[in-house]
Amino acid sequence: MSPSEVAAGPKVRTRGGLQIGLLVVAALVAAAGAACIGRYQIDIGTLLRVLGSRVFPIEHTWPETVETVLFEVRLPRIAISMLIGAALSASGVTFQGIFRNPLVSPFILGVSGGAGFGAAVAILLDSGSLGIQLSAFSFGALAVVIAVLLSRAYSSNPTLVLVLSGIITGGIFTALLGLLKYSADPEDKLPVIEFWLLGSLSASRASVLLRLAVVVLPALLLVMALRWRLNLLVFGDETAKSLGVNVTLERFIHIALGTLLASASVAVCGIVGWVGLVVPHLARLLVGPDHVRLVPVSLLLGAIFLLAVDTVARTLTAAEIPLGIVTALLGAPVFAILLRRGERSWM
Amino acid sequence: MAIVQTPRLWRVFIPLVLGLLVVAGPTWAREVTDQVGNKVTIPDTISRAVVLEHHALDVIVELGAQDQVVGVMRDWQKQLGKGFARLAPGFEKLSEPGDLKTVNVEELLSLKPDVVIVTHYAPEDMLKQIRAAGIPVVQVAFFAAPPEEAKKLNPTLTDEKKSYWDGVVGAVNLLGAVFGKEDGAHKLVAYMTRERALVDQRTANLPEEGRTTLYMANPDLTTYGSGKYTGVIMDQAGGLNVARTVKGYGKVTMEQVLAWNPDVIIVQDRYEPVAAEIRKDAAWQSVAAVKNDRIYVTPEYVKPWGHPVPESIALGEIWMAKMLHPDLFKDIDLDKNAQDFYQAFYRTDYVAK
Repeated sequence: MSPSEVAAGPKVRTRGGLQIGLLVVAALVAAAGAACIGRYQIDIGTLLRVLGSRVFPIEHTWPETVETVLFEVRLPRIAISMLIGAALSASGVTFQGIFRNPLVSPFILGVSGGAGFGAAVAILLDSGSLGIQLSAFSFGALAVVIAVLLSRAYSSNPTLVLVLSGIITGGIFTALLGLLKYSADPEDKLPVIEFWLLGSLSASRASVLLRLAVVVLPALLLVMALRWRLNLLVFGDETAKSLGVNVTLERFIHIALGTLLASASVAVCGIVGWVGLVVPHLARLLVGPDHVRLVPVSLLLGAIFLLAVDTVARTLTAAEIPLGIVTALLGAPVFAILLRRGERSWM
Repeated sequence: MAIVQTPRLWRVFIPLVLGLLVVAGPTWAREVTDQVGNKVTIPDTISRAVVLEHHALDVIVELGAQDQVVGVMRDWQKQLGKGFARLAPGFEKLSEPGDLKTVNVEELLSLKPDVVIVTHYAPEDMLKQIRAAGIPVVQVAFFAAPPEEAKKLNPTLTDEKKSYWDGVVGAVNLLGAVFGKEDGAHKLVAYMTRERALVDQRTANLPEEGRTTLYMANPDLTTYGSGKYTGVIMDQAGGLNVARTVKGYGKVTMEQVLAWNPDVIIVQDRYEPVAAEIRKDAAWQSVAAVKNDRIYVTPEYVKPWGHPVPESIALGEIWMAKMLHPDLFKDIDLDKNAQDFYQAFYRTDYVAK
């Protein structure tokens, strides 16, 4: 792809339409499938009647609990897992684009360290699930703000300095988190912190979905709208400037969006790694490096991936399986295979 | 001549030394077996103990041995609840040289302790550090199990009721022996035995079928499953822990709780806000316990934790049993019982919240 071809922007949108269409169908099928399984047994007939009763006048012959399971627990959790999968992947593809590096994850600027610290503080203060979410979100975003401010103190290569600043702030927050874990009660608070850090969607409720959607949906729409601008940043600062791009401003906007998506996700589900790293690679293998197609395909793949993983985590045993463990166990081998297959194709 | 004389001299000397050791021995050292099966040699009288385990701290106060403690675990107030400082005046001023899993050896040494009491799952490194400093370490478990299982935080126990009973009695007797408070220990064990027998007798005729199901709601959908005392206290009360298929302290899914549909939800006093959270969470509304308003916050003495303390058995089991079967315990005034126990073992009033 040449710079002039990229600068043409949205006109290349038509290619890849088929893949995107197929992925939308796959996502809907996956969601429908996930709605049928869970620790609380609901047969398909009842499921369809309960869903139908929201639209048509059907007589309520099922226990009230069935409705609670579906509308308060299972469906919100499915929607949340898909939203977060999409958000983490969008964040990953954005950061990989602006840093022009395929090894970058959404947590490169210290979001996970900050969020982990924020969650641990809230857990130690007994502030409830809303408090944990707000605290994790704020500290996750705060870590990135500190990293960005810190990077401005240096004058060399901005992306390199930004990554290093992210490592510094992430490191400090991780150390502070360690301090909190060290002083936490090993029989009571420590397991709660560790469960949180390993990631889980067990706190998913309709109200959580609403809060998450308010932040994530607009950010996802903006990422979609600005996705072709990422193609310009990928060429490097000099080329982008010569194409008339305000590199500093556009990079800032993308970092802000990526951070918003990552910290909002992490606030709800804990530190779930590998999604933001692996899914963009998978997407690149399918549709190539052009962000016009890469971004929507990443979003859809991410949604399907996390939905599948979370369905396993919530159904396999009576105890909740930490999400981060499953994503790592699946993500790392997939990444290894992708590296082998796609050595040429990332950019 | 000299060759013959030397053995003769030894023949006199050796029995003399041995005899002296036998006579003098008990005055400067004795051996106790701790709850993970280690034989530990400790001084005859303990006047400077460091206690890095909170259940043991509670028992020590109940035995009236708190003046023999010179160092306590960090966060003991958080672990034992806000009310405990009132029961153990003086602890607030003590040095805090470590916790369940770590120790600051220099600070420990500066306290010149005779013995250190630690938990059964204290890491090997921590034990080595203390032993290397020449201080005897006594480990308490509050359950009885073979040494390998006894070192685990989440043990697998074949008979949980027996294991925790033997364990709490063993811990009380062990601490009684260590601190020279054998009389207090006997009194405490007798009290527990009497109250346990009362619950056993009154709930003996309850059918096994159709037991009330209970769920222990800790923050963030975490709960206690099998291998913990929590299941035992529920069983003693004639109830059934819904989470018994989960091992140890674990996190469960909301759907699983809805599928279990517990009749009663128990919230520990240290997590009181959880009760309010459950009451207003839409997802919980169809659970039987919420519908019938059967969410109970425990009084401070119940302590239905992973490990039992004497008051869990002496007072807590009756509280839970009366809550599930009020008709069987009509004549029991829980506040009076608590008052009696607090006067006898904490030497102060019980103050209900």
